[in-house]
Amino acid sequence: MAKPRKQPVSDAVNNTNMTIPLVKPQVVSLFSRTGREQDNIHHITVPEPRMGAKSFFIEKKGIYVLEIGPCVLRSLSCTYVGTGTFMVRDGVPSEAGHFDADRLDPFSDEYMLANGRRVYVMSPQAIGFWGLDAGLHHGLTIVASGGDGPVMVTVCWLKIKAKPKVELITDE
Amino acid sequence: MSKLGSLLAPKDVFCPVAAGTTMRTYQLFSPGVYRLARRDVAFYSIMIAAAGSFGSIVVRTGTRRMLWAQPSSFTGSFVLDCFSEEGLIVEAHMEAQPFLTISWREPDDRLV
Repeated sequence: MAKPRKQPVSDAVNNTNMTIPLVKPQVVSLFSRTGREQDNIHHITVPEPRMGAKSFFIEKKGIYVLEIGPCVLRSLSCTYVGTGTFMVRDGVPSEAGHFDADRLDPFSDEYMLANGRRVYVMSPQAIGFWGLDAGLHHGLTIVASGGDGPVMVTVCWLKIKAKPKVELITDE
Repeated sequence: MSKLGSLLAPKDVFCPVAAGTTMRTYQLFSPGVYRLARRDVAFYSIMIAAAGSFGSIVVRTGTRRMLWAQPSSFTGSFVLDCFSEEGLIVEAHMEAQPFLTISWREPDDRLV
């Protein structure tokens, strides 16, 4: 079996489209999407809390589907530097770990409503409390990949019960 | 109880509510395991003013589910406001004095 060709980092930086490095998992991209992590999808079900927000403590690399449907990402508390990439996506991955948004141009209008658009990236992970209160339409998925060592991040989010009405307004 | 068991058994802390709110706060200034609440609460924040010596700080729910952890302590503040079922337990595993301030919300002003 032929060894997959590694794409130089400089090529990925200059590629404004960023589609190719994300779609092909064999390519070592800026976001370190390797095949190993894609086999490691965890579906986390956190019951509706009586008070406060939902939370989940992530301590291993992998893909964590924390919420399906609209939600608000309150905060990320990172207590370990580590290596690799920590990414928050608005959406839910396919069984293979892919997102629809990866096939789209990130500067296009369709990308903003697509399942799996990137909303936050730490590469490498940075210690600290990162408050976001970010509104997510499709769901909340954390992709922690690449590098060695653990991840230590507490993710807090709130589920939105009512389905929000979203429409894309263009100049036309 | 064995010596190890006594070290790991949480010390119960009863903290009054702040007037007019449901917020409570406690400053932890010696290593050990502390149970701050014994019912469903919201773990609001933790502030590490002095990290003490090298050691870890762990916050768990009453069912021992891990909410937040620092493998090696450092100063900072973290606001979570997340649900903690059946209580709130803070573990400060270090040799020198830490200074932690933990805030949480309980459903009412009863001292339970």
